[in-house]
Amino acid sequence: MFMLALETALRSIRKTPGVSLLVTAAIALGVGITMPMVVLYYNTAQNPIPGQSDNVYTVLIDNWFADVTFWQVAPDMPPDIMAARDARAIMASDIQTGTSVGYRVIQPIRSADNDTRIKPFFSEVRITTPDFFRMFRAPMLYGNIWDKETGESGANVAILSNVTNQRLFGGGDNVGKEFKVADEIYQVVGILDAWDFTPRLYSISINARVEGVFVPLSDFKRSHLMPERATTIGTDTPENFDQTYLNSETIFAEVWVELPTAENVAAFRDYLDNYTLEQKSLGRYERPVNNRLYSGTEWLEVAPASQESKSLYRAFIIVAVFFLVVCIFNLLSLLLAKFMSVTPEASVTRALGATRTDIFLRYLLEVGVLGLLGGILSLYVARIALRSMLWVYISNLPPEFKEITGIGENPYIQFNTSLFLATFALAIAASLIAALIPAWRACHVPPAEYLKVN
Amino acid sequence: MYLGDIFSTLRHSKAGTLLLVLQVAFTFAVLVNVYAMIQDYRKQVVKDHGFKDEASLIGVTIRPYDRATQGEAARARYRNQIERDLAIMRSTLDVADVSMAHEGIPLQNNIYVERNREFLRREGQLQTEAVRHTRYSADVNTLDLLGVELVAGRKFTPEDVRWVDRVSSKGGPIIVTEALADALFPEGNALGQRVTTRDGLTTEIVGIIKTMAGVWWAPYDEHTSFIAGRSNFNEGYLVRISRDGVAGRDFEIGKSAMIRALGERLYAESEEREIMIETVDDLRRGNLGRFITINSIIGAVGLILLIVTALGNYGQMSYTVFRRTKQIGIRRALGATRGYIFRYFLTESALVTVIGLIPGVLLMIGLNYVIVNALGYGKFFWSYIVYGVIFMVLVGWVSALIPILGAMRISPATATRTL
Repeated sequence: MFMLALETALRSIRKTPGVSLLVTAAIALGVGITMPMVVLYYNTAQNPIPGQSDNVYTVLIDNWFADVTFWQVAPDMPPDIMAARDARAIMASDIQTGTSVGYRVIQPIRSADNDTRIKPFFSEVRITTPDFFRMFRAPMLYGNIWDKETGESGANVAILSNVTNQRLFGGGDNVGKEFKVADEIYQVVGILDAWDFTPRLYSISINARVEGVFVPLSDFKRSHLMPERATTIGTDTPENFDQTYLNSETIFAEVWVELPTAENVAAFRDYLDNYTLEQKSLGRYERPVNNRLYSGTEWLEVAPASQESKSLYRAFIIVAVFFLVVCIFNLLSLLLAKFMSVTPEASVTRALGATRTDIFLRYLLEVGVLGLLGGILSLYVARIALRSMLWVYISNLPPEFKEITGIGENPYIQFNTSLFLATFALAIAASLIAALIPAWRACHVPPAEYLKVN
Repeated sequence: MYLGDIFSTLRHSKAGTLLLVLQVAFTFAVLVNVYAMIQDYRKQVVKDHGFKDEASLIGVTIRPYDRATQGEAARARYRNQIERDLAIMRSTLDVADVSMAHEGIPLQNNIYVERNREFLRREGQLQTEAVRHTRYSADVNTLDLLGVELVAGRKFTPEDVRWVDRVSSKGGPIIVTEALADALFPEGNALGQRVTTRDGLTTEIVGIIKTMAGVWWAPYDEHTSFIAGRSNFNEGYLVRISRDGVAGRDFEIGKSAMIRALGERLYAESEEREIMIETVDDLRRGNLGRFITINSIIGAVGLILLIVTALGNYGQMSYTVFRRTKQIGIRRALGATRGYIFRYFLTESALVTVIGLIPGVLLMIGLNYVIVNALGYGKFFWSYIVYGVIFMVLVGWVSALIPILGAMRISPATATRTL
């Protein structure tokens, strides 16, 4: 029965090749253009570590000036960076199962023996604790994370991103080799695999990608690496790392903790509240105590730094939806034309005993076949559209941004399986939705009407 | 003359007509809104940046690999190098003028230059009342080099400009754009008033300039200030190419030769640094790249949308003609000319479009409200409706042309056949 219906559908498609072609093209274009725009938008808002993002929490302590707003877009939100002494207090707690404390610097990276064939390049360097890699699921390709003792000893060891490994050594397993960050020699202990981590949850900012080099925090002893994002008001250029960053209220450390259970969260919250109230009573913090603990999932929603790019790329979603709706409208009128032009056939079939449901389902099946065809085509369209959109996106990035992140060589939005399936599903859904009204009208032709003339 | 006929035909297939009208309405609403979005984003990219002759202006960023800025020794090393680099740039062929621009070269906005996003307030006001703006530092010659238009007060004098570590906290007087002056002092008496920066510098407004591009976007895009001062840790420079110097040669060729020479000479001075030379076009891409990206993509999608609409209309019209083959034949047999058939279908197409525009305008305004709320962008102008109407009628005609030509060819003899 199904085979017969399928055969009829195919014959009907062959009978109206022009309209069928237009219908297929409309589906392919509609879905193929819509999907990449949605993908580009979600890429600025997606969750880079689904699941794990509910276990990691960013810790915010409101150590800012009473009469100054830190976030103009969210005046009640504490800064997302804290003073070294507060970060140390959190590292001293054993309630959390993991602690990531770090900051970002921009420093020249060069070969250890000043090999002139490798031009030095500026790169973002993250100074961090070993738990960072586990908490944010960094994929290790070669070597290992430095162990606790090495980290605490202040040894100059480093983990490279695959992009930096490529630039510095031309790729491959280079564990044990040396290179320079600023003027200090560092030894490679690990190399990361390609790591797609957008948005950069642990340090959100526009267009940010994972850093090129990771080195141990070593209890804030890397005094030759000055944080790029450190804030106080009215101070002049620092004379001394210890004075400016260690024993001061300068805020610069990004702190994340891993709290796998609700009990952990509650206990940590208590610990944090006790600590800040105690510090407040000692005369610190100008503002009232306003501690915040946001899970990764929540932080993606509320982080003030992500609001800007979200609202900018929201235009994509709006246009994508418009586009799809216009395409469905066009499909609808095309299908109406298509079905109405074969009314005599439907009429005769009805007269021969087919029910309305039969006719209705047959039309839907026919559109389903076209939807399937359009879906396959839309995959090609989507692939081309995504490539073109990424090309436009990348070619309009500031040149030094491409340099530092290596994004120019490495377009990071891939056409993966789930995207593949979603495109397909959308194509068939869109065509079936568009087919409902035309099929409904078409199956209501009175039987036998056309028997008279033919 | 054919209006009565057309109306009666349309009344005959109510559902089809209704669908067509809705389709026109929605397409119109979407196209006008996409156009409004593109126009609004485009304004950001092509607006008056406030400086003259963009083509002959370039930005130079010199970032030493030794970035240590602690202590007197580092300060002396930086200062010494700045003086030498300035001398090198000034003596390069075809360079008309050079100025220091530590706190960001205008339009530059990258991951290094976050610091010139500033908040300015009246002296004594709370920070929470501060106005968002972009701050640049300026040497004595910076405003002249840029060609900024002064509308009130004065430019900086040599006494205003001192060497300091951070211009934003230790700099001299300030010059603001008209937009920023109005935002700070709506009474219009900004000149001579005192204002405070986020870094705690309280200083006097000595001049007001017409406009200057900042790194924020609308409505803060023209909220810009210059603070007098030279930074001890300067890394940015503005260079004006002499138009006279490259006369006789093609300007673009002379410009790229000059950029190459500048880069080579600076690199010969010291290899221990990264040297970045950017044209205004590069800088604009850095600052407005997101707008350009969004605009290009939305524009392209708008175009494809148009193609889809035209294809849909073509299919629809073909069906209409197919369905009315017999009627057309009868009309032809009764003496209607080919010209009559042609005009009849063009009028019908235009009529359906115009009817669709009535719900279309309402829908468009509704959608526009949603868009402006979600993006803060894309307000429509009434003139867009006029363009939209003309455009939609034209698209309708063009896409219907082939089916209509087909209709004209229908022979009067068709009337005698049964189907």
